[in-house]
Amino acid sequence: MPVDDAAIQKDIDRVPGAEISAKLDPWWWLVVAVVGILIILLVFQRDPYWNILSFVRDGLAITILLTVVSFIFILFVGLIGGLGRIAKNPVIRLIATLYVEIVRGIPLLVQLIWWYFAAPVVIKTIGQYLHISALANYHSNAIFLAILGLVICYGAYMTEIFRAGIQSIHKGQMEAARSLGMTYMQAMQHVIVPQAIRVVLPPVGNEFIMLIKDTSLVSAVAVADLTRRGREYMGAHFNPIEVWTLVALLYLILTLLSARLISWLENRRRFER
Amino acid sequence: MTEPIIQLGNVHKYFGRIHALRGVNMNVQKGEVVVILGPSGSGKSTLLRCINHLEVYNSGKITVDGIPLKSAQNINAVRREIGMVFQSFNLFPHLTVMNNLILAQRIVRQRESGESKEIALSLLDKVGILEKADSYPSQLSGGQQQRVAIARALAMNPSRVLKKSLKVADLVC
Repeated sequence: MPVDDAAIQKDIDRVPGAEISAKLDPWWWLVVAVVGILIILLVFQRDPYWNILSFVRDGLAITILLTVVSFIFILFVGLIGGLGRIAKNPVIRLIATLYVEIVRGIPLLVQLIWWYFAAPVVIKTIGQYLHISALANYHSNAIFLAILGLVICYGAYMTEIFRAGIQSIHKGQMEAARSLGMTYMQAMQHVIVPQAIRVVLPPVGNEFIMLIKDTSLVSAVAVADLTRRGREYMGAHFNPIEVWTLVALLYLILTLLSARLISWLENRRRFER
Repeated sequence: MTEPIIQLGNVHKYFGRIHALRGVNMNVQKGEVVVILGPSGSGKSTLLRCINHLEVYNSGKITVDGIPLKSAQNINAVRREIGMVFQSFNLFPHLTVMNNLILAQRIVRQRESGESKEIALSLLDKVGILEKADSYPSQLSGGQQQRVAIARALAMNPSRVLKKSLKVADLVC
């Protein structure tokens, strides 16, 4: 009896939910709902909400800027650190391990405060001691120090993610690359790291979303991010419910959109099977 | 008689307390096909991995193409001349068959993209899977993957050393 391909395809199509779940991705509905609530509030409760939004808008821009700029450097630090953690040279390995262990053991808030309040004093003292006027007259920049603090802290977590990702690639891949005459770094660059990136994409995406939320901690060190602008507005107008509802919604939109972007990237970079 | 292309003199290899290679002596002449036969775990793969310096042997002497391996600063230069086909093929899963064949040609041999593509195509034709050039390794059968692995090794260098070494390595599979 000849096999009826069309009938088989029909049966496959009839698998319950297969098509529907693609159309009704619940996360998109969540995004739509949150944006909808925000628009309703802005249109129908124009008085506090629109004013709050105009006030915190530059804070929102700072939050996005902090997240994106820090994240680019975090990826870089993570890659270098990850390679360092598996390096053959024991000194490099020790430095990378110490970095991870020290940084992971200190709360991010404490680190940010240290960079903002303690580091400039240390730099000035060293400058005076060594008579380097550029260091002695060091003028701290809150945003720069906040990015530095975020990069150093998140870089340590990213280091571990990259190390695990690189180690998850079968060692036969390195051997195959080396047996073709590639150097260690060439094999890393063209064979190991491209495969590792696909493995680490989900945890890296997770870190990105965590970073968006953790940038709110920089409001403690004089950076006028979304959270700090919200607090300033509340201090002037005494309407905590409206302010923090709006701020929470704005963070939620940022994280939900990022989550969509990340899962889109994951799907795009999946292996051909 | 010409100088053997591969010379092994009293090669010993230990994995911890396991004595895997016990004083292996072997000479391979140009154009010679050598079959290494033995039961599982007898050290056939270890021997080949030592020739390619993927394993460091404990004592003895291995000379490839006149270059003693132990002292080889330019291990990459030696490896370049030795084609190796792995037991599990170890194709690069993130690259198409074509790019598996091209990658090392480009960055190790510094060949032009057009030239390396031509070499890759002719080799794929030779091993009979020309139509799979744009497939990914995971889309191939085991036998097809093996052919890609052979073609990838051959693509690096159709020089005398490679051809012979490939024959040696081929038998691991």
